[in-house]
Amino acid sequence: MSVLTGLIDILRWIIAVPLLLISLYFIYTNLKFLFQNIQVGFNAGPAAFTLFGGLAGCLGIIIVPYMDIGDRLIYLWVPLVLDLGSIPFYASMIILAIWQHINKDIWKNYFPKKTSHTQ
Amino acid sequence: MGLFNGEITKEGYIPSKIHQFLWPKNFSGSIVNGLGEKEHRRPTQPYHTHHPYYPFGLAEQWFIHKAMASSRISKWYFIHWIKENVTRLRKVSKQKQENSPEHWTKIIKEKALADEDIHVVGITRMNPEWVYEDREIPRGEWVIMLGRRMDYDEFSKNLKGDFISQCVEVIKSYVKGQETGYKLANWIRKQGYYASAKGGLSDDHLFTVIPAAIEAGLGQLGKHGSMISDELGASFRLTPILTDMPLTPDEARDVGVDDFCMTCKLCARECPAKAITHEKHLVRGEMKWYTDFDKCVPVFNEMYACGICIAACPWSRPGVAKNLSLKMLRKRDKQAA
Repeated sequence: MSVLTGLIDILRWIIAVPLLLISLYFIYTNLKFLFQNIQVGFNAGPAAFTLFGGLAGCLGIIIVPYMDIGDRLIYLWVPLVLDLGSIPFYASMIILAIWQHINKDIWKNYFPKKTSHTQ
Repeated sequence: MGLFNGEITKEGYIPSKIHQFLWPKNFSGSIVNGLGEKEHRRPTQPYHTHHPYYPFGLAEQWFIHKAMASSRISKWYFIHWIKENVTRLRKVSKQKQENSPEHWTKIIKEKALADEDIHVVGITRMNPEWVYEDREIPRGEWVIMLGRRMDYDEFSKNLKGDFISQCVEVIKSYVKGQETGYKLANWIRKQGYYASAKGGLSDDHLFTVIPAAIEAGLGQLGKHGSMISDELGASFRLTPILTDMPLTPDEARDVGVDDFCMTCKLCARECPAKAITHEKHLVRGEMKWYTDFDKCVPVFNEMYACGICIAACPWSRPGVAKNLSLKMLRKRDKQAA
């Protein structure tokens, strides 16, 4: 292994590790957000940051100088699936959009959820 | 009207085909807002819940994704998101500093206004009636309302079709307001009192800030449904701080907005959605200016938060609000005499 290859590998580690850490941060944060939303019954809980965690993870996997590229690429789906703001979010959006389009009265009983009339 | 972009017509706005697909059928935001309701009730949040599983959630996601496609908007939104999720307020000091409400009020206002990003500040007692009806009443007896003037030159670029600059200016204002809010909340916590600060883009909205800002003496509700201040016009953003620190309240003030809006037709004329009417409406037991939610929001979604009504409002132009307010109040005094 030449000095140049070694330096490039170090550089790849330097870029890949933060990307993978960012991905982990978003995976954790979006999971936390989901539980917080469940706690408040999906009444304006915190928002997920979409796609960022998944994409950062994919880039990290592509760049990291560990294993052969072919062996690494089969793990590309992992951050995209683990990050709730990536594939799970967009899949649920598509399902909801189609469901809303088919069932026009889907939101009929949404409001009033709760009445608290005051003087 | 195209797949991705809507069309402005003389009759109003026709949303893009995607927006039409995502918009809920057989449902109206005006029902959620309580348009036409005679009984008073706490408000319900119709929009900006930031999670997609509610009637307008899909349309809101369209707005967010369209806006985030602009690098300038996504940069500022990301800054806001990081600040909100990384910033931790300090623990409330166990040693409570005792002082009179007048003293604390004076210091709070001085501290807020010492920040170059805050231009007006008002204080009012928290009213549970402002809290969204499905939320718990938040902790904090007092609301400190901070107002930040937006850069009118940047904001009003929307009148020339540059909606992205306008949107960036709005987010920037929320970020700056939030920064000061955190600083002030931390200072209050250091004195031994509970305090929390949430900017306008925060995810967990708990209450409607405009009624609180009106009670805190910052201004009045304008015809376009946004607040008008006699200092900043309509071109400003609010940041509320909730606290237990004993304070003295400001009073709601009549700054002549109602008299002006009764005759001015500018915002209604300029509104691409034709969502602004010239009459007040009954909303949850109160007659007030009301913007048609179902007409306004599609334009808001597809034109980077639009903001045309605020930019077109004569009060928004720099240096105009104070004089306009005095003029309206003098005119009324003359008529009364």
